[in-house]
Amino acid sequence: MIEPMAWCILAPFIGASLAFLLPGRVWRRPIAIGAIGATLASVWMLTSQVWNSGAQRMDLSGWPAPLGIGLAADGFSVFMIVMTGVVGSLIGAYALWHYSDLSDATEPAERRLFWPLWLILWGSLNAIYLSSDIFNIYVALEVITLAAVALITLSGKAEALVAAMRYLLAAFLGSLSYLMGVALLYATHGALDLVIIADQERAGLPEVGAFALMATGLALKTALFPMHFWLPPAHSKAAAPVSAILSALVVKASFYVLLRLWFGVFDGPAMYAVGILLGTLGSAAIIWGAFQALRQMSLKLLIAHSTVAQIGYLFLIFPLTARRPSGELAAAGWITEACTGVSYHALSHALAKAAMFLGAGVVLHVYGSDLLTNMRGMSRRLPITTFALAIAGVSLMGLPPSGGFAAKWLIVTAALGAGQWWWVLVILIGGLLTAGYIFLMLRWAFISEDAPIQLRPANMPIQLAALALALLSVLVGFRLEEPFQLLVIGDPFPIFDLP
Amino acid sequence: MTLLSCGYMSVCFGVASAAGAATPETPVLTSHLVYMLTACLLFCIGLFGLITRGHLMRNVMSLNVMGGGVFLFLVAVARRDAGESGPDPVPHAMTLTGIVVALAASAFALALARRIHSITGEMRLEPGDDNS
Repeated sequence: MIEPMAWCILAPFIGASLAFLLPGRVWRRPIAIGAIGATLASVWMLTSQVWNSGAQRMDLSGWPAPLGIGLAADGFSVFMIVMTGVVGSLIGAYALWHYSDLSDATEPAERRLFWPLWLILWGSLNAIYLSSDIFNIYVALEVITLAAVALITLSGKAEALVAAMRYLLAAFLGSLSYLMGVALLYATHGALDLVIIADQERAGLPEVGAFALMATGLALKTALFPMHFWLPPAHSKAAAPVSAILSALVVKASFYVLLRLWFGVFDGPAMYAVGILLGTLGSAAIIWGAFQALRQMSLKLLIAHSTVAQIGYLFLIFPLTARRPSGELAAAGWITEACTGVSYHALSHALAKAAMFLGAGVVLHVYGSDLLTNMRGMSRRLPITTFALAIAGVSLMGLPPSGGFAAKWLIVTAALGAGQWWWVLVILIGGLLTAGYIFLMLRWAFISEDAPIQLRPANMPIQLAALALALLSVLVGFRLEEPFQLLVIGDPFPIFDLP
Repeated sequence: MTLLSCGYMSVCFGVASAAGAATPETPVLTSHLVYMLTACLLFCIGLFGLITRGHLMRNVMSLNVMGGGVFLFLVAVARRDAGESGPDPVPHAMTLTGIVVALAASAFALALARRIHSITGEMRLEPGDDNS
């Protein structure tokens, strides 16, 4: 029998093994395309299964939950898996060229190792989104970290190695903190399955401690301000496809786990304060990241700081879905808006950010450097890439009718409905600062420069990959109905009734 | 950073006592509680080392001390939940898997540190940081 859930994880892993075992040049392209195709087919089957017959659950090898490991797929998991699939395969299309013999930007060793590492990373991302077992999630988080760090080190340059090492130490610390939280949860509940833990009585102090440890660890991996110190160097020193994968997809995985724990496991009087704290840190990230982005002189560092800021918006979900100590919900009646808004922000940011990093990759390839001052005359020399950067910027700023606009509109609606108007202020200021750094970036592209400089020719496929991602990040704003129907399948954002 | 580690430390200790006391009819200080407190202490010592030291070798060792703390905690939980048929096997399985994961991560970190050393001649991330 074909289990789409298992194949979403297995297909990339099998592809990774094949790509590692058959490193020859002849095999690289067929294996990569085959693995992407097989994974997308599994994702498609899973999506139609969940869409037609509701949330799915599967016990691996037939062992039921307390002992075995469960896989579960509801609307939110499928949403994230589809996001990973779409963004991942377009980045893959770029990487097919970037890591081929046509490109003089890469060494043979890089070309050999990119595909195994990226496919392992993809499989573990899907494993996170499908796992119902908090220890299994730990293992997947750690595999993601190792694959992501290895991808950064591929270029072999000293600054990339140092950035990778800093990322590895931070992420290792985050994993251990998360694992300590898992140990505490097991000590209090005697179970590892999210569903079983959610069904039990809340246990008070040990649970708060477990949440503190897990939330700190996951926030460190998601690069929430002020734990974002590792992100700008790691994301900007990597090769273009790797930067796109890290910024668009990898940081979302640890956020997803935090969200699952927030909705599935933790509740109680302390949660309101925790929610406000996470929201405040998110707001600080929005302002600080955007402010830092304004000060950068290199394109990739600017985009990386923008990621720090955009991650902040994700954390606004916590104050909006928290329960006041008195027991009533802070935003009763607006929970759906808050949750769909934040999920939609994750999607449109993934598309826009991948487009920007791939666009930066084209700039780096053609101009040989990504200094903003070198981008003079780019609007005439690279019209497609300039257009892609601008369109992705529109979505990041949240101008209508982009995906970013739909997401921010929903978050603002929920914040006003909850009476927490201060988040709206933060979103508005953040939007203005975002517009600031996007225009600062584009300004250099539109300054005309007639002095002849040595440029390498840009080829069409990589420019089109960036453009496709950018267009998608706007287009997702036009069609909201199906994604929203998908997101509520299986009630992934349950709000507890206090006993 | 020091504040952060102090906060961590108090959280860990409070929680370990609570988890230890969660079993019914236990005296104040049982053997598994001693192990749990030791585990938290190890975790905090590792965290302190990681934050205050700049040498990459020490950083990797600190993370392994923290990992040791987590694994000791899991084994203590298994001992606490021991039934007639012996200790609870699930935390043991988690410990074994955790050790494998930590081994892989440490090996990778050491290889990376060696590469950094061979390229830059430094065994630390910030050059000029003489706090070894």
